[in-house]
Amino acid sequence: MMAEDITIDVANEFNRWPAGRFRRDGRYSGERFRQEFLVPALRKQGTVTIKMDGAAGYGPSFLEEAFGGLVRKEGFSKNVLSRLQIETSRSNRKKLIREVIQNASPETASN
Amino acid sequence: MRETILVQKKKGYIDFKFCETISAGAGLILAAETERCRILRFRNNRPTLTGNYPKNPIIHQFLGELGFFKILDIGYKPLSFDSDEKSSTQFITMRTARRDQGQELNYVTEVFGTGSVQLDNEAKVSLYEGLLEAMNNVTAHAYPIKHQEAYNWTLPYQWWAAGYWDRERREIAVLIYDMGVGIPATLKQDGYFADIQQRLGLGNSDQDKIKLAMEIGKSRLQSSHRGHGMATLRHAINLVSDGSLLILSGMGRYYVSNKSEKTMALPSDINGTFIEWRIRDENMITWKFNDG
Repeated sequence: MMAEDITIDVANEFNRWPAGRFRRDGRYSGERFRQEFLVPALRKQGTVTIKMDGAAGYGPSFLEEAFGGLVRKEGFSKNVLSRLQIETSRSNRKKLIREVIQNASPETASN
Repeated sequence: MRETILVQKKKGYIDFKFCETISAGAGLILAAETERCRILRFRNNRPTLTGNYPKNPIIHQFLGELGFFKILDIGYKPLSFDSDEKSSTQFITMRTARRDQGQELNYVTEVFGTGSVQLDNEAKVSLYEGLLEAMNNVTAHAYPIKHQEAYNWTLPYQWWAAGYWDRERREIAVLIYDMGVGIPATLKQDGYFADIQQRLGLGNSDQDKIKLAMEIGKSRLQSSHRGHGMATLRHAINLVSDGSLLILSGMGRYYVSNKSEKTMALPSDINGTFIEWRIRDENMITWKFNDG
């Protein structure tokens, strides 16, 4: 498969007010963003650029589920970080995303 | 109100005649409880809780701006003021929703981005993200199924948020409240928590458990534990030179500002969680009024 670089503009393509961890929490949850945007983009093997600034803000639960969930639930290794370009004016947001990926461990059926 | 209207299922009447003062937080909690009573208890197709208008024009204005009269299904028409008693505080109409509704919540902080009072954008986003975390805690923890099954007067996953600015005090604030089981009741009691609890010399009081949740938020991120995002609540305060965060939950009170951190016991259970951020930083807030 040819690697394909993809850009995701959260505010324009997903929602300006993303919130919540799971789909049951709200319509624009971290789980939904991961499953419908991040995972399909990352499966194409190229670099995925995430434009984050247009949205009003992000809760840590949303970020953990969206990005940490790549390692915990979707079978990506922590190296997935090298293919993610986070565009944000807030340095602590980039740091938080890096942390949630690095702290995540793959979940097994028992946990 | 809870005992009379929800438990004993009697009629109730809120009499504001002699009410001379009410804080923003008390107003928000009163409005939330009033809304719950009016949603859940009816007789002859009419809510069993009613009330009258305050005589005090400042309280009348506060409750009107907050949206309290809308809950009572009565109109709001501002009273005329004597010039010396006009309130310097403008309230942001209360928003309420179930589960994670970012757009509803954003209304409370977006007011500080476009109107007469403008907050530095990074502080505004941090305030919003603090509210987001509080809202997510409501969805994830505040209303466990057992609690919903045990009490037929819960409004599961419901939260209420509001805010205000005060021209005289040069202060802005945002507030959020839920009527769930509270932070102390939902804090996990595992070994990691116990280690930090022991290291900090914290006991099992509600105020100590709130402080513990805040400390754990500082030290780690882990999806399965409450508290991993609690540190987010402090970000906005860390950005400004004069700000504070107040958390009331269960029977505990936790307060942190740029200068101090304090905890104390509340005289009674607040039956939920109330969080308030206040910012008074002249360098972070632009006031666009004719009188300066």
